[in-house]
Amino acid sequence: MAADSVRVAVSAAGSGAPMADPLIRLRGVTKTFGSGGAMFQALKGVDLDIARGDFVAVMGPSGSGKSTTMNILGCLDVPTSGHFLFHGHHVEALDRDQRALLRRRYLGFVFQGFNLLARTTALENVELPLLYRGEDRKTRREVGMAALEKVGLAQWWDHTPAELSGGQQQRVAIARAIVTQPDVLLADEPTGNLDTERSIEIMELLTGLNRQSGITVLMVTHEPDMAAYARTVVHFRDGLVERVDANHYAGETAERVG
Amino acid sequence: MLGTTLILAVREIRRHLLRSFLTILGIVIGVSAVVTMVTLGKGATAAVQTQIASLGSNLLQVRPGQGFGRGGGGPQPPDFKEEDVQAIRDQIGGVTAVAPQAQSTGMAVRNAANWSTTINGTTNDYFIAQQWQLSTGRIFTRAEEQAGKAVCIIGSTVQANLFRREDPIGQRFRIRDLSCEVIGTLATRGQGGFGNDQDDVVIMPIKTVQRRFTGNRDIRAIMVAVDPAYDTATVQQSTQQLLRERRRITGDKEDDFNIFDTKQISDTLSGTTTILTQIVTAVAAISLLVGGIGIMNIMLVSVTERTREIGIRLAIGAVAREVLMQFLVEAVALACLGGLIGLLIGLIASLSLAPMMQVPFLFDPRINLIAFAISALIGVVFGYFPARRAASLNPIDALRHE
Repeated sequence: MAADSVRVAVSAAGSGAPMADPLIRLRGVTKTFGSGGAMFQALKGVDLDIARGDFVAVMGPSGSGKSTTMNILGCLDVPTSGHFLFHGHHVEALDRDQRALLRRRYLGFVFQGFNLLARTTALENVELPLLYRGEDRKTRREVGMAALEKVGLAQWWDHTPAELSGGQQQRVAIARAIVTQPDVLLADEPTGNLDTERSIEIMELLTGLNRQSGITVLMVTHEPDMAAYARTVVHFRDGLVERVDANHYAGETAERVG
Repeated sequence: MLGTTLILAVREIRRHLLRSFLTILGIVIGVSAVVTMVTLGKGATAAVQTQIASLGSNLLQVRPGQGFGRGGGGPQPPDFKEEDVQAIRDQIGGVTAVAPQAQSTGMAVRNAANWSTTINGTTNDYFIAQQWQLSTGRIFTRAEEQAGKAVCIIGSTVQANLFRREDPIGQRFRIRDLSCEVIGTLATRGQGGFGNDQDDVVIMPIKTVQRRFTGNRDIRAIMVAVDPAYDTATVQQSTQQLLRERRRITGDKEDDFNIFDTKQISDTLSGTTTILTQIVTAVAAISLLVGGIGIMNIMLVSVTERTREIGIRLAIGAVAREVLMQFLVEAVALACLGGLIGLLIGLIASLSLAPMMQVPFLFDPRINLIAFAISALIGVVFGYFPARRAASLNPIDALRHE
């Protein structure tokens, strides 16, 4: 149990004893959109720690600030105030390109709408992040195929998104996200466009990646069934973290369903 | 990095073949127009210059009257006399040949063949002044020139029409009512500066022509060849002075003759072709500009259409410069492709049009290089704005697009 509690090292600010620096630390993060009368405060001071290797589900109603938080965690956006410590970097102080390099090096993205390049083969899609890392053609091909292998789509490498089912497209997207062996995989409602059966496949894939490769997974979801796969569930409400639940049975749930 | 971007660009162009083609159409037309026009213009200039050169270089044409031909109205200024020719020869420095000319026309008849041609009475100086070689036979002897013998040297057109393939040397034919012996044939010269056939001529001693055809001792024109070491303008001036004295033109009265430097014709004609080439090039340049705007249009549409793709690339970790480069390289690749196709079409067009326009095909690597460089430049200039717009997109908004 002690080992478990270390692994599930998520704490709302103030609660629990301080530990070794987590992978991700948000402190007093606010985000304001617009100005004057149209001003809207999406985040009102979020404190959140996420440990390396965790599988976190982010839940909350629309407008609760979970997407804004994900954008900040994905280094796509910066907080209006507060601190975001990632990998020892103060992300709020980085410029556009520095954040892009951080994404390139440490992050992988999976979207609800798959977001694959159209008229582009699965392998070319998966190779894309490697292209920006400056890998040569041979490495791109090998590593890209290995990633497709991991998601079980190696034999579909030369198919374009139009020729693949939704579940397959999402698996290609996951292969693209993990091809650079990122530390963190950010998934924005990865099963939102899929039926139950495909959703379970995707969740098992993510769980497997989290366990075997040690990738930290952050996933936004509306569905409690999908959140059940996560070890930690963060609930957002009105621009604040409402509560953080540790799900000690996450692994068993996955095994039971699988 | 550039290699990668180039791969991406080529992929993108291949994915939208029709759109890519339409995008570059303006540049294709512009480049092919420029290349065709400049190539043909150069050919035309060269053709004109060859024809001008055939008039003779360092050559002054002295004629009575003001300007070309005889001026209209008033008493006709007198033709020149043998003494004028002699005076120029004796008193003007830097003159290598002075050839008087008396001209007539007539029907040349031999057996069943007949041919209407120009009769040119002159002296051996004519061949020097014109730098015109004989292909067979000989020039006139002193005795033949002085006595006005019935001998002639014929141009290749006359030779072909009267003698076919026979050797004309020593043969006789009748021209008007004079039976004359062929002592030489001229080398073929082709078309003259004014579209005339220079080879359609029978050359006789000037005395023969004066006595038998014109019936007087008038000299219609004098050709003065200037030593290349001397300044043609100076020789022209002193000749003018001499002739004014001899023709008793005093004070500020105008000349009743004119001295024409063939170089002036050459300059005028090549000036005309240069202006024509410039005008057409300007039109083609406008078409290149329009082509560039076409590229910018399509690239802007493309940026909007591919907003999501740009969002994906940015999320994956592309920095702004890489997205900018991608779109810029794509625009430049498109423009260069257009330039290459334009060059090819221009080459084919000028190759097939040159014979139709009767000008030589002169491949000019310089204009090809310039046209290509300009199309690449258009890609950079008109690709930059859309590329910068793509690079400045916010990844979150871009991902949410549509």
